[in-house]
Amino acid sequence: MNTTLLAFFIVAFISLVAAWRVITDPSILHAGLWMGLSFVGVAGIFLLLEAEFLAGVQVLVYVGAITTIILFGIMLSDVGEVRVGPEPPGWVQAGAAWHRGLRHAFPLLVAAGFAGTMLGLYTQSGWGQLRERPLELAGLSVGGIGRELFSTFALPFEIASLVLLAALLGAIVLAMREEER
Amino acid sequence: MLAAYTDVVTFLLVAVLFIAASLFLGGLLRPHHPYPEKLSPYECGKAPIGSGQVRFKVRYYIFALVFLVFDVEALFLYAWAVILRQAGWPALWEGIAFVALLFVGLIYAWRKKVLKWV
Repeated sequence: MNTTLLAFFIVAFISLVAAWRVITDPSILHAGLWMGLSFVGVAGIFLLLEAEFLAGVQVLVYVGAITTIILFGIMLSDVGEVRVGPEPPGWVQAGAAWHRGLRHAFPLLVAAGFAGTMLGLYTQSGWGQLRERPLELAGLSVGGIGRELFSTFALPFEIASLVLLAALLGAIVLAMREEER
Repeated sequence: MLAAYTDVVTFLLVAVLFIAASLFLGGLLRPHHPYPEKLSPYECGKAPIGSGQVRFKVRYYIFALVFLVFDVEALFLYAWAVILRQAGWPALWEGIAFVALLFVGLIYAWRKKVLKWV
């Protein structure tokens, strides 16, 4: 087994365990932190695919921003308000066994369906045959993306700044209006 | 390219091992003597009031939103910083224009007293 494959299995394992903890951890705040770790694992997979910039995006946006926003959201909401509902009525309890089975079967069904779709896409795309790094990928380093960004795509890049500015102003205006209410 | 990340992996391993070893050795050496006062949260020496998990004011969410925008800005600046030396002056001005536009937003947030910690 070569080093890249070994690294892939380690990183994928960390990511999967973290994702599993996200749905099983009793503390919702810890679940949010586990999600951050899962994202770090995905960044590692991007790195193994030699997509440095995507790995940077993954860490900055997903680990840095999305996880922070979600943790903020958890801290701003009253977690104590989230409670388990009252005892279900008799006719629901009668079908509880069936319901329990369904509750375990349904996520499995969804996961199996998703895995099947991904596998189907993988076999259709012919990525399985890609052993050597394709030539176009050589320009996909951070430097390559930067060079393209500041020559060919200079105008869209500046427009991105305007879009970000609009998002910032919009967030402020909306939040201030909430405040006045 | 991936070989360059050997340093990162080494760094990660050393960091994890250092923390794990410190905690393990500390656990061996320290006395184990817990009592309720010691286990209570530390609030500047006063007896803590209420639960540690309070709901924060919604107002603070705006800090997260402003941070989000500048986080995406940092992402673009990452690609910018990598090529700046070879791309030369045009790229420098493009980057400065990019930052300047977002600086307007920062000034707006500042003037609207969004950044005030209340």
